[in-house]
Amino acid sequence: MGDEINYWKLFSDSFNFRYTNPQATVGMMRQASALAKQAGDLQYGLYVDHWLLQTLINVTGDYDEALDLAVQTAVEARKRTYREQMERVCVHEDLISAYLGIDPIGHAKLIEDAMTYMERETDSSIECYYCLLSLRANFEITFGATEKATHTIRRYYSETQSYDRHHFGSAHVELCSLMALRGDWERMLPYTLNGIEVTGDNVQMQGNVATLWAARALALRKLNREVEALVAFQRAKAKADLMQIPIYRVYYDMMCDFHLEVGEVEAALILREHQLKDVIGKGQPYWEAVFRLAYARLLKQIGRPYAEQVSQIRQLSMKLKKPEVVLDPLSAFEAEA
Amino acid sequence: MDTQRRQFQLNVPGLLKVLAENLYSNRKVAIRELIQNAHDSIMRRVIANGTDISFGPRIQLRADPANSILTIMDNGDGMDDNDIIQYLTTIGNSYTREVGSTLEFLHPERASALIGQFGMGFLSAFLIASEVKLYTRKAGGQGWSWYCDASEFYEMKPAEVASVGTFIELKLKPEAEPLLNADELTQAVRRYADFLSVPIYVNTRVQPVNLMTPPWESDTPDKAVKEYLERTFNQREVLHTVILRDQIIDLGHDTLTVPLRGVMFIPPSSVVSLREYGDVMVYIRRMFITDQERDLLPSWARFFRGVIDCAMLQPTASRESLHQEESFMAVRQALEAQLLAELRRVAYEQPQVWRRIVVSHTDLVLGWVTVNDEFFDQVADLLPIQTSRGAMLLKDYLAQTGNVFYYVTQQIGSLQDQLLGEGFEVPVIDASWFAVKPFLEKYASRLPAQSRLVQMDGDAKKLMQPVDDSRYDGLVMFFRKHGIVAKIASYKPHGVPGLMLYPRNADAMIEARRALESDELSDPFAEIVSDYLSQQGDDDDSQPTGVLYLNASCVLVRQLTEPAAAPMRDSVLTLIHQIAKLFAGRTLTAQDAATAFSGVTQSIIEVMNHG
Repeated sequence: MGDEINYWKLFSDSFNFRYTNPQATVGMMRQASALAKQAGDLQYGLYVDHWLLQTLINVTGDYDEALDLAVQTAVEARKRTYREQMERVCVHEDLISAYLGIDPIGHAKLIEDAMTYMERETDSSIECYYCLLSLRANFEITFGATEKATHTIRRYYSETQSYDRHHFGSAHVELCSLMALRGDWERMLPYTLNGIEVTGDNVQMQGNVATLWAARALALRKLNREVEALVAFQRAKAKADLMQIPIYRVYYDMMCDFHLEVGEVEAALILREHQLKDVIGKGQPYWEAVFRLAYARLLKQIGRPYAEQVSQIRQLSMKLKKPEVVLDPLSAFEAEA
Repeated sequence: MDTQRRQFQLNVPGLLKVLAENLYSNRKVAIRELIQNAHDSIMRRVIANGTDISFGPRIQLRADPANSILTIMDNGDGMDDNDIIQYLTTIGNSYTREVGSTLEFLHPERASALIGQFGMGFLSAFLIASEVKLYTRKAGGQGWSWYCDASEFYEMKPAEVASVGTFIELKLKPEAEPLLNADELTQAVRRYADFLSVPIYVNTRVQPVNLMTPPWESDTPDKAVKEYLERTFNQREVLHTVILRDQIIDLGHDTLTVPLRGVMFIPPSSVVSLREYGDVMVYIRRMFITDQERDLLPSWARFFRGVIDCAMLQPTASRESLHQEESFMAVRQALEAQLLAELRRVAYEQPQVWRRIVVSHTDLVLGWVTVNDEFFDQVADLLPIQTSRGAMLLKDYLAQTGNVFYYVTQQIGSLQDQLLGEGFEVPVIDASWFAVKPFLEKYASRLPAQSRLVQMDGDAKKLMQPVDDSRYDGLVMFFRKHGIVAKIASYKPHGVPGLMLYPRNADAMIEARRALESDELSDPFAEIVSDYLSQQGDDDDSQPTGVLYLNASCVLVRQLTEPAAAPMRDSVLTLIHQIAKLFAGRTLTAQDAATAFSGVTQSIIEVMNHG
């Protein structure tokens, strides 16, 4: 079965499913990669592997498979065969992304060194430069390094403005995440709308649109503009409901805060449950622990048992280089009245 | 300084340029916009006349290639000077929208005949024309002429206009002149206005070029749909058609009736088995919007194609795509409910048709079947799966294997895994096709009886029984002395003395080690790769060099434990190891293969010398 399919056709068709049935996309890309390599078309194999990695990292969030493949691909890319190939650069960034998704704090030094190296090697004539800016912004926000993140996001925003809608849309999401972190609600508002406009109906960026509506809803609620907030919330939810792939972490954070702002703990709990489902068993121990802790907090808040979450967080911490990054907040949480 | 309140200044030519060149993706949409204006004008006259159509509604397009002129004439309600100023030349004011909103509550059926919303369609004339002249007259009123050459000024004056309605004359730009070709013009009319109820005539043709009545509203819908699918989709024989109807969806606190019109169909299998469809042609109030809407169908229904007309859908300003908002989701939900109900009906009432659908689209159905439980239940036992013994249905397969799914995910390098499967006398499922494994997992999860999935490549150990017998210690020691990890197990086929098993990522690990040893990676990435390798398990089975599993069920292996075999034992063990390596075919460089062959040759010579 499938022998009659050309690998390039299989690969191009796989994009049709990327946001509706990503598992099918992953399967098709795996198969296209294997067939390309079997046919001796190694460059195409690397090209497909990069997109497979992008799908595993950004769409399905399956980091177990992504890590193996990212290492394998980065190692493969050292060969002379790929010297002129753009994806040779991309797969190194994919490897950094994979490490960011698995244990960003435990691997902070490895990630920082690799990013610095890539930034030195990459200039703004290729897209990878913008991907790197996005990675760095993400990395710094994860650490709560708002000053560094502000600097990076400013660059990302201003440099992508005239580059492309994809990155410019993402820059708006990063910017709004940062402003939420700083509680800068009034200034966030125009960026939410601008980001939505920039992103438009691009099917690849509907996660951004959902997130930006969520950010807008939260900001409006913080500013007591309740009617507008509810409309924005509905838009965010409608977009998210249409998506059949895991949605960004920031979306959940914004939506949960939106509910918690008026004491809707149950609604926030449901969202966190969805978020957890998206990461469980997918090789993201740090993020799974973080989400479980957020979930446990809500359970505690409404007097429901949360011991299972605590036990799971302890188990997850064993997979981290620095278990204390989740164990310390866990202890603090347990000590809270 | 006092605050000054000023009005925005409009640079009309600039605005026209932006709207005309950036709002629309295709300049032919000008035909759609002008026809739609003509249609709405006629509908307003019909409504004003209390639905009397004795005036013979019609739209006439004429091309004059010699002078590069295209004219569009309608006998709608026409315009007076106020209408021209308020609506035609005020961007964003839509006469039709205003009429529509007043009718919407009391006469929704009349409102639904009106299409215009944005008050900017007329601008699109400048997509194709450098000059536009317009003559118009309302019943019992003064006629007017209007002229604009795409500058910020227009001219209008009273004029003799023979009949009620509007006549537009477009001086086409050179790049739009192909529209003066009758076939091109007819094609554009059919594309955008096939279903408009007003007859549209092109040049001297005596028959309207548009269908006017959508096939699903015809008196003989089956025949009309068949003809339509052939004409529009080039589909002579389809497997099944579904004529859409109103669908009630449950909103929890209320219900909502979604007015679905149109037809969905399942094409026969395509030349390329992977070919997916799922694209829907969308009309709103009979006006064409897009033929490539890919999000409206539920994701599992990619083997459908079709055309839908739904007034609940909201077009974007260019009306070339849809806003994906709440109403879009409601329509999608309604469509899903209706297609599922129809498929359920076909499965029970027309099993032969159902079988053809599933068999024709096996690959596609497999790809989507896992995302919808109801759909899964309808097709799971009809899908043939490829196995090492030919195509089989899973229920028959499981009857043979005792509810165990044995499968391989790679065609290359899985021969030895399949060999183990043959030892168990069971067929092995070829799950190298992307959709098969998720399908097997879903099938297993929904079986009432307990079942097991055994991936033969990378997980073949599950087919072996560990053997704890000190008689074999000498054999294992021999290999350990040579740095080879060997274990004793019992497995079928009994004729196989030894197999090499490797972890899933063995090749990648070996390559990574080589790259590190030869210092071929840049420093930060070398550190990451080292970190990765250090996190791999340190047990024997995680080693990329693989484990030789000697088969305690094989007579040869058992004989090697006998004292009589001692003189030839080392040679035979080397032979078994090298053959197993070559047969596995993994992690081998050309140099490794040469060494293995050399070992085989040397061992055979030694055995012969002893013989």
